[in-house]
Amino acid sequence: MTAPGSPPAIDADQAVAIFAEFAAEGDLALRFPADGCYARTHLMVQRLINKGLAPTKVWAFAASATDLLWVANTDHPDGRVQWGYHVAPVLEVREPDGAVRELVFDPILFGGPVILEEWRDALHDTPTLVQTALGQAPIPERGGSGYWPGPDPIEGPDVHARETLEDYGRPGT
Amino acid sequence: MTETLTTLTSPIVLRVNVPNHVPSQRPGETRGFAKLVIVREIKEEDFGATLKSREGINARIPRTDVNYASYLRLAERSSERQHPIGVLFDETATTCKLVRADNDVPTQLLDEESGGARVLFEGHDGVFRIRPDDPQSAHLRALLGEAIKQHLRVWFIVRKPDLALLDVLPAEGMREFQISFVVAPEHLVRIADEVLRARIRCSKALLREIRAVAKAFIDEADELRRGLREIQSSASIAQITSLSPAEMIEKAKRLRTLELPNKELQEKVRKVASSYLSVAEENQRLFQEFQEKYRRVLPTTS
Repeated sequence: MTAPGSPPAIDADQAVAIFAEFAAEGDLALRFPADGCYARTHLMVQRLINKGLAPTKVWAFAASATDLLWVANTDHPDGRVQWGYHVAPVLEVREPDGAVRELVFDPILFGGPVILEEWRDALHDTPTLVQTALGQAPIPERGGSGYWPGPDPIEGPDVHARETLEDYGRPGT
Repeated sequence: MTETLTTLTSPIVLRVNVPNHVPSQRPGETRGFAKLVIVREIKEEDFGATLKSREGINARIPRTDVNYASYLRLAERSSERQHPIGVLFDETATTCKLVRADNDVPTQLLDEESGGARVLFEGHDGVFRIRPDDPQSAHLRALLGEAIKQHLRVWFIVRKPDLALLDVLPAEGMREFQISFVVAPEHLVRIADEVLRARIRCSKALLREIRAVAKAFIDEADELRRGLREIQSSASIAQITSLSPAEMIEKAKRLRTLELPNKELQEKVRKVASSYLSVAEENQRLFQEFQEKYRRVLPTTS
């Protein structure tokens, strides 16, 4: 997955530290999982780029609108949240044994970086996984810059991501 | 006479090639309500801020509100970008909250057994809802249904944490109109039916006139109700003729003072004729109001 000239894989300790930073950040609205993974991923990816890293994104699409992805969540009135798709950043991480693996950074679902299969299995369905480079649309026929699976929001991805999470971080309407 | 009229209003979605949009106005609401509006002017005074919207809705935000700063920021964004925000009024319409409006292209509207619906968008990962008890359910369904068909972006506001949609507004290519009209009440339609089937002792010419008015009364009420049902079931195109024919109005005018040997029947005919005229006059007025309101944005062919 590493392109020529791209940064080398980070080591496992660094991956854990980066994940801890994300989990502690107040502006990712982690207590509102009902929506907004596209915005969280956008911000996390920007922060990884700022660290000189080269993240990609992994997308999990539900099989159909009647067979959605879901995770248990006690904060939600239904006791679970459902998603049409889910997305999170991915980084190449060098394990202590020297092997390089792609790990998913998803503080909504996990307490640390996990391998793709573990991330997919947590979504309680048999989703279709799509991995994209930055700027690449996960469903090309819908267009967009890869912020989410469709044309970009009117205000642009940066503003939309920031304002969405600002909104989701506030108490309910 | 107007005590016998029932006013029915329903939004209609028409496709017009004009880029701006008309807000979803639902006057007469007395319960709490939520609307998408675009802020035109913000006036800060001692007590707080008054927001004036393009849609004519004013909101007062007191400085004592704990969310004053964030509300003001939302209002300023709306004013600068000319993008909508949500204004939520309580039941007394004296206090309000402002909420951020989001935008996306809806892809699916799935009915639920509860009577509500789930809404999926292209971009948002979450599952949004139309609450079964939402009085605006038909309005929201119609707008979203049309946006899905035409693959158009909408603005929307939600309640958290269940992502229940509170209001939806087309962001492009689709315009929203509200048309109001009145229909005859059911009990008078039944009386008209009795008149239609009654043996009336009078000249043949007068009998034809009485039956013509009674039949028109029933048919027009039925047609208006049918049109309303069609729109509420998310029809993309619906045609409603709310204007009564002039010659029938003249006949009804004559029947208001009709004398018949059977006084009970006479009263029934007079009631039907009077109601027919009231409905016709009120619908004429509402139609003119509609034309005036949307004069600048209606397609020239309509």
